[in-house]
Amino acid sequence: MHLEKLAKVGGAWLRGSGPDSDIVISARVRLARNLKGHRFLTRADDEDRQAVAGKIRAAIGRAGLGDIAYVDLTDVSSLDRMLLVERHLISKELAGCEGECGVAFGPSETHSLMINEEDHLRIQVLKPGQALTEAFEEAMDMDANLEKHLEYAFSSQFGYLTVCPTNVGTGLRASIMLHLPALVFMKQIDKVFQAVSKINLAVRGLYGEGTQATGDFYQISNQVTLGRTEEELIEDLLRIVPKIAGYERRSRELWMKEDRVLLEDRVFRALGMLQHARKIASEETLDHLSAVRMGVNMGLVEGMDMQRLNELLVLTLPAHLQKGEGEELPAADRDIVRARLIRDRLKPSRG
Amino acid sequence: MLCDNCGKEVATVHLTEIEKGEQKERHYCEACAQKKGVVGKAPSLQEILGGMIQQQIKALGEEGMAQCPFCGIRFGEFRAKGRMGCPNDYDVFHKNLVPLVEKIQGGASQHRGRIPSRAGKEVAQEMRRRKLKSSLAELVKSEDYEEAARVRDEIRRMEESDAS
Repeated sequence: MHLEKLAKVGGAWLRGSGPDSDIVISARVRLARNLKGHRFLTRADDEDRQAVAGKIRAAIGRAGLGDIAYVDLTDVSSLDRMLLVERHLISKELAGCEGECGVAFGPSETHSLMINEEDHLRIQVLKPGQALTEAFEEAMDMDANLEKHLEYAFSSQFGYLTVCPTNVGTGLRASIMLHLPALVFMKQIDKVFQAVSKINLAVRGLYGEGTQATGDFYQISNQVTLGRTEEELIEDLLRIVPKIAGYERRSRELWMKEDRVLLEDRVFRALGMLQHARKIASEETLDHLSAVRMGVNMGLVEGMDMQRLNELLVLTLPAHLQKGEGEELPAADRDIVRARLIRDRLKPSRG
Repeated sequence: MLCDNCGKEVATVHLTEIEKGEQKERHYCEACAQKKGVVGKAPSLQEILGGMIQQQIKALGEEGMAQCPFCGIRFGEFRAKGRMGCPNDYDVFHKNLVPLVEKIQGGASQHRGRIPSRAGKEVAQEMRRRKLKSSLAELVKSEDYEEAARVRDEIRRMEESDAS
């Protein structure tokens, strides 16, 4: 299976470039859909699950979605499932699924179709940088193609019917992942959250709902899914993101002006840790990568390839490390392997 | 210390009994303690959850007992878990659901987004009528009576052509 190859490179969504890529990491759109005439997974038996998966797989085949392969998760080990979670190809919920479930995705890893997650079908497009509009258009396009071969559960009042009423209506959840280290340091991040929640947007951690924000990475997404058009929901997000990015940028400048030594100390300490540590845990790695990433973007650290740095965000996660080593490792051993991988990738240039 | 009863397992339940004025200590393992009726069986997570659902159903009275004939879920169970059982539930629980949805969805209870192309003409028509009705209410509220009259006439025309 092509899962083996995945562990060697970071996800496509990390390859951001362009004006805001120092702060805006990626954009994601997902649509929740269910099939008419079938019980939701909360009340489904094995037969229902298989029938639903069969219909959706057939539709994927007929919809002409390009180079897309289906991975039946019943055949996939828990380590490989974690690998897919770390790459944002499946959700944590799908990784824990029992019975018939799966995911279809292509080599670019930007489009994925989750079958029998919370809803029967979840269509996801994940793009690097601030390509939210593009992600949105491509998700709607996939949906329109699939819809020709599937009859969705829909009501004229509640729109697309979903397992949880928090997704009903458009079934659309759009999110943007932001790197906000200076706002966190300046203790301004709570103000951002308050402002964001007032306009019906929500803040989540790196891996979506119910996860903690780590390493200063945050996802901003729409809270409401009903009563507004898909375009309006996307526009709300597009309007707020440059504001938050600008706020982060100003905080960085202020930090530089007010206490450059402290800022540099933080960045270079983190770099030193990453370049020299002999064992390092996941969370600590993320914190240091966050500081170095900011240092590179602010021009403090020179000669560091941003993509290499971004890739480490994913390659140092537990499942990626273990796939890279070709065996399951206890946490203590993972910390040693992780430190070695980071040292190899961030070798200081000798001049 | 081993169980007083079976003498095999480690005693984890310790009790002091007063029998005929005499104080006696007894030590049982979990299984023997249960057999002797000293302790009840610890409820499983499933049982605890089930209990919570039953409680929620009872607390909601008749409303909580309402059941979907297609998937069998009761409204109380939905309230306890926050997850629907099938698309049909949105119809069956409609009356009780609207205020809940409005609470979750920032006051909205009407879809304004995309319609599946396969949903058919009636659904598209119904959505248009609902949209007009909600914009009529908005217009009246903002005292734009001229535009409100125009929208009202349009709704009337739609309903007349439906009836004919």
